Amino acid sequence: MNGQAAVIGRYRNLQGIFYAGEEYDSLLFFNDADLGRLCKRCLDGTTTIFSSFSGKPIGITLDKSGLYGGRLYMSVTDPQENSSVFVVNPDGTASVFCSMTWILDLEFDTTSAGAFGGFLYGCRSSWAIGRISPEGLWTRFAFSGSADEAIKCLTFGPDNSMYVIEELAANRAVVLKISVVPEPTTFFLMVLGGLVLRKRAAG
Amino acid sequence: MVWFLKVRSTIIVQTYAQYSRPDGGQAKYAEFDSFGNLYITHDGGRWLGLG
Repeated sequence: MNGQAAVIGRYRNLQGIFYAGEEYDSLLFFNDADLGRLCKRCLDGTTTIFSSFSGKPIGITLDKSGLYGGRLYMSVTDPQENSSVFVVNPDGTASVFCSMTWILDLEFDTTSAGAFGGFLYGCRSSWAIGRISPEGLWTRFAFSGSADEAIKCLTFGPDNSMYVIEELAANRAVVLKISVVPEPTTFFLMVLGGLVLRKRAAG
Repeated sequence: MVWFLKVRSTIIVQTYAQYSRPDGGQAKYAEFDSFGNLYITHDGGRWLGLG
């Protein structure tokens, strides 16, 4: 590694970029959004089309836990604002995993503590964040009444929190930190349960 | 004996940072590095780092 950079290709609307795991030959994948393509960069330096979609691929993420079959997942939006999350297999075939309007970014819970249950999360432009179950069901996780403000990106931080970018008017943007904490009652019950078990073990 | 405890939780949303979008471009992609710095790419090829 010497920090030098080289152009490996020019694309009009590069959306997501991702290193996939061994099942996908450990190659670099990226979305050429305007042409509806998921491309892969091969070891010989060539770039090939891995999958094609009728809409615009936006988010791309890989299930590293195995809870979702260890596959690549992509959000694809068509001009009518219908979105689908596709599961992309190692042979390049893709099938619809979940449908919803205007899903933008996707990310698996990668927090070390599994603070968000290890699930797949997606954000919608109308200020909504959803949790997508391994069966492909969308459940609203967080939302706001200010639907005019769009959420564009979703990622997880090293502090076990979720982060999203909210775009505001006048070229402003806010990074929001979303944390999940046990309610005091639950926390109290957990401590109490721990004490009871400890006492039983000692007795 | 197996104990099951349904954990109820609260979601807390806080402002972490505010910034001006470079050239007004839309945010495209955000990711943390291993040092806890957040990087955000924007339309037009601009990126922003938040330490």
